[in-house]
Amino acid sequence: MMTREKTKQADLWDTPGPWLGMLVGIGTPLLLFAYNRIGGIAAIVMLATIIAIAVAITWRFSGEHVVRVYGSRALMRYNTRFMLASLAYVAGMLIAMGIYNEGMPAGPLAYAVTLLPTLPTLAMIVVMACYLVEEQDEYLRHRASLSAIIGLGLVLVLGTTWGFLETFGLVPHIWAWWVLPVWAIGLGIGQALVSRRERVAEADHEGEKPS
Amino acid sequence: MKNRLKVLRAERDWSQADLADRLEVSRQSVNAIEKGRYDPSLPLAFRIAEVFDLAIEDIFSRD
Repeated sequence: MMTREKTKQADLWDTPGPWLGMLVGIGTPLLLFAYNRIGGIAAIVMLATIIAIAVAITWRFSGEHVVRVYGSRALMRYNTRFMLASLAYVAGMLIAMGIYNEGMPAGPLAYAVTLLPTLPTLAMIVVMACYLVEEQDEYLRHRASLSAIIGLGLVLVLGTTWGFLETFGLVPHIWAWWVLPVWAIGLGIGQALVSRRERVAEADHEGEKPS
Repeated sequence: MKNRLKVLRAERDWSQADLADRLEVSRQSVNAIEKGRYDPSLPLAFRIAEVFDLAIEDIFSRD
């Protein structure tokens, strides 16, 4: 039988997810400000600081009670990996933008520059795939798959609709990399819908012990 | 599919978390199965039956 720590009732703020999310949310505009107003060196120093804070947060918020909040160890790993991939994306995007603004190199080097934001983005997709493979809890895996399908549905609906509108010149062109943010939004909507259903069920679940 | 998880837990004075620990799944899983929002796989249904020391059909039945 699996024993779990029960002395502390942890909530979401005891997990690295929201802290890393805040770090990315606050850090990105600060990084942009540092890059635009102070210079590349300041941006690099700030980026290193943000990465150090991210590592510290990940190390600080770990343990059995955190697993309990997330529901599974695989879900904890997924959240941490996804946030780290997001940080890598911000870093890659900033560096690529910097190089682009200074004058984009030609040939293979140009392709290498575009890989800087691309690879972390692909890493996010790999992180999701790893989660589905690693998750041992079949209900949580089912829940994640359902959310991913809702995200895919949103991409297909918006992509198809926008594509035809664009074909007939009614809307401007948008870049194809938008599929991932749109999918992520759909994933979030799916997770919110599933969580809402769970909260409704929780309302029926009177406390911990059955009466 | 209907199930008797809540009654069986009550008989043993187990919380959803207690049952989740015994099954080595999340409490969300137990909640979803108990409320009939998710039908467990056959291997998990067998584990649930083992934990309660009952046959699967003593726990789960058709709607």
